[in-house]
Amino acid sequence: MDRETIRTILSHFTVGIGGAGGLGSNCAVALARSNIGTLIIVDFDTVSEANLDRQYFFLPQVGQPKVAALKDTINTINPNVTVQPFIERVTRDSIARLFASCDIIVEAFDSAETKLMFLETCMQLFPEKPLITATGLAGYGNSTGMKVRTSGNLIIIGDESAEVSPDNPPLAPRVGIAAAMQANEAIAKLVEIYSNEETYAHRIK
Amino acid sequence: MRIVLNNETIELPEHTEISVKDLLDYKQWSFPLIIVKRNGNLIQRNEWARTIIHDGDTVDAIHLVSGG
Repeated sequence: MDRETIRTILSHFTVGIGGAGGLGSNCAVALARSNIGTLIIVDFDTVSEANLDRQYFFLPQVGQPKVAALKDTINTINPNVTVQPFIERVTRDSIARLFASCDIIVEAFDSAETKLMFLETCMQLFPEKPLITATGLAGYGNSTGMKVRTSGNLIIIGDESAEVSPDNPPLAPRVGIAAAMQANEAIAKLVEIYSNEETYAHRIK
Repeated sequence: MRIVLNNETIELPEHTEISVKDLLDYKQWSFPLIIVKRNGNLIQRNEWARTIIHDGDTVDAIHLVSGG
C-alpha cells in the first residue's frame, strides 16, 4: 500500500487517547504525522519542566494545559488533523461521553490504578472497539522485551513487568518505544478496519 | 484439563474445571491490578469466584504496572 493511500485511509478515522503524558503525547504526534483524521485527547494536567524528560512538549509550553499545548504542536506539524482537546480528569462516568465517537481508544495513563479503571470501563462500554494499552515500560535497555499481544479487542504493549519506581524511572527512549508501538498498532488496526467492508460499514460513529 | 493461559498451553491435571479466582491462586498471581479475559471477554473482578474456566478455554491475565 503506498504512502498516499495509507494517509488517505487514516484521514477517515478518529483515535481517542486517554492521557497526554509520555505515552499519549508521543503516540498522538506519531498518529498526526501519519495523517490521522481526528484525535480526541483527554488530560487534566498542565505541562511542567519535569515532563520534558520524555513528553512531547517544549519549555515555552510549561504551565499550559497539556492537551492545549499538544493541539498547538500537532497542528504546527500537520494542520489537517482535527484535535479535540478535553482538559479534565478521565473518570468512570466521563468515558462514555468522551470516547463514544472514537474508532480506536489508546490507554496512555501513568498510574496502574487509572489504567485498570480505564480499560475495564472501556471494555464494558465499548466491547467492539479496539483498545490499545501499555504496561511495563520503565527504565532502559531490554528493547526487545517490548512486546505486543492481543486478547480479543485488547492490544497489550510493553514488557508487562517493569514498573516505575524511584530506582526505575520512565525515560524518553523506552516510553517512546511503547508510544510508537501503540501508534503503530493503531494504524495497522485502522487499515484492517478500512479494508474490511463489513467492519468499516458497521463502525460506530 | 488443558487451557491456553497468556498464549501458553498449560495442563491442570487435578482439575476438570476451575474458577478464575482459583486459577489466579494456583498461579500465585496475587497482583491487585490485573485484568482477566476469558475467550476474549472481560471477566469483572466481582465475577472471578463464580466464573468457571473449562477445558479448551483461552484465558489472558494482564498485569498493569505504573508508567506512561
